[in-house]
Amino acid sequence: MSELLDIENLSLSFGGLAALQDFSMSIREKTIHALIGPNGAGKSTLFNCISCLVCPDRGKIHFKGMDLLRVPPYDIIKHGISRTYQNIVMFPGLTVEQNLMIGLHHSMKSGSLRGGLRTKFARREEKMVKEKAGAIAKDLGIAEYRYRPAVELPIGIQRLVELGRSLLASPRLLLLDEPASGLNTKEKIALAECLIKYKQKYELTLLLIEHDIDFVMGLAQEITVLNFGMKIAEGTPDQIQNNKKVVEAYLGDDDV
Amino acid sequence: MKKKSIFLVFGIVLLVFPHILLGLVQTKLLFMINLVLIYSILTISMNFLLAYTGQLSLGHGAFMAVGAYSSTIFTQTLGLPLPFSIILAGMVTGLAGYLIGLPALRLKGHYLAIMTLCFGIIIPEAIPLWKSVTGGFIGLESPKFHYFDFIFSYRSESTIPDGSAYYVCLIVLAAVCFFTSNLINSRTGRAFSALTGNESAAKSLGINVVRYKLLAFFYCAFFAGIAGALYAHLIGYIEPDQFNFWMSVFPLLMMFMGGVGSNAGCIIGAFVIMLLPDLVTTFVAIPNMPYILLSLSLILVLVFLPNGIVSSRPVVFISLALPENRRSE
Repeated sequence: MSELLDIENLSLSFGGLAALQDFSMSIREKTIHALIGPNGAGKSTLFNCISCLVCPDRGKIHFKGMDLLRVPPYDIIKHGISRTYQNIVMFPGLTVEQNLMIGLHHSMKSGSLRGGLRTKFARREEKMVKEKAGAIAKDLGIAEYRYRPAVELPIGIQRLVELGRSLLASPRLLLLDEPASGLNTKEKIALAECLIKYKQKYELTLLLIEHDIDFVMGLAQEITVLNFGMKIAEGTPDQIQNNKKVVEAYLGDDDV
Repeated sequence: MKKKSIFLVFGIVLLVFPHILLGLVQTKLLFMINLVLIYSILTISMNFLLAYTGQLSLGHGAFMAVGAYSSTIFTQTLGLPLPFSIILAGMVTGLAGYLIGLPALRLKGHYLAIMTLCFGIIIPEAIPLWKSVTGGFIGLESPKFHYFDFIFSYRSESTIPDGSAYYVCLIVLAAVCFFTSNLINSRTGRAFSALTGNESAAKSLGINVVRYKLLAFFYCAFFAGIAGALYAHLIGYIEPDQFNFWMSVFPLLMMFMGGVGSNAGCIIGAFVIMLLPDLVTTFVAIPNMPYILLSLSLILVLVFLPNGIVSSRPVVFISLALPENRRSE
């Protein structure tokens, strides 16, 4: 298995606060990789670096062998990286269907002129995109909410809409920022099954941030632990569970 | 079926409307209706920017001025045919909007509004300075519309241009409504909503935020420029004083009176704001009363119908026939 994402010596500080210090990791293709660590460890910052929303002070990120830091943020999705957010992003004023359709924005060709004049091309493309959005909504079991304003729906549904939107972009690498937070146990199990299903179906590579240790241990093949912007451990779930440093970071070092 | 018949009745009324007005020897009213149609376009343009990209423009009078002067200069000095020069004037204004959009990329919310306000002050003040082209304070004469004169040939000469202008404005307004409501429900419209909702998430979804913001400014200015060109050819002459601050404020009042986010609301708002003062004058003889009552009624609308007149029950029925911008299935 080859490496899909390669991060080398990434450093970023906000003022005096070092969010990431000399952080390196690599993600193998078609694996589920989890990123854990206490609050403020720099997990979301790392996600923002990978999606080029913030630029690191030092370091390199290579995706499929390409220098990712040279790509403008709006082109990242074209190269095959899509993501979800810790605080779910649902665009206000749009229905669930329209929110899903934005996931296909980068693959559509009709511009404002064709859209405004509703040319045959634009209508056909719109119909095609609608069908794709409908199919994924059905697959995720949210088809009944398709025409409802997305912001009015419960968190669990919104998480699925966001997942559907990022899946529609047909990514190679999917970044999930706390996908299970705010979900109940039943929903978490359903989400885990769903992620495994899509991983196989689309040959995805997943990188996820999660606080729910049981969820992570059950799902991930590889885990990286972050604390104060530094990598403190890396390995399989079993290795991580028995790692002394990890236990210290989570429970405090004066633990018996 | 029901909607189709409403549409048909509405269409027929719109087509015979000027003839009824002229039959009643209300030539001034026909002129006012033409102004209403032009202000509707201007209001739709302002609404486009506010409702879908969350940016408030307080300088629409300036866009009007650019459109009016461009179209007049194109017809008078370059001798271009009217329809062509109107579209070209829209493009010139669109380009101006694009340029305004560049510094606006750094500003948000109130700050952006204030910037457009400054622009709205600069342009009318700067026009007379370029005397060789704009005619200074005296202004320019602008050709009137004569495309539909044959329909009004039974009338006296003086009313014919206004009758023609009515149909021209109606066609342009319909086209603008068609275009904006399509655009909002297209890929571009969704991109606008996305970047209004969350800029960085929009970027991650492949939306070039800078490009779309400038695009919004271009279209907004384009429509306002078209409105300006129509205005010049309706009145027959233009001078800097016409494009004062009120021209930027009126569409704002109309938009909130009718209902933000709806083309029908913009048109209804334009009707009420333009015609209510005249209506009041015919009943009340106190000189300043019309605008006091108008402002009071706007306050009442804001308090009791925050979504504008268009959200009230009886109006919903009428507005069924108008192309609606609301995104719902």
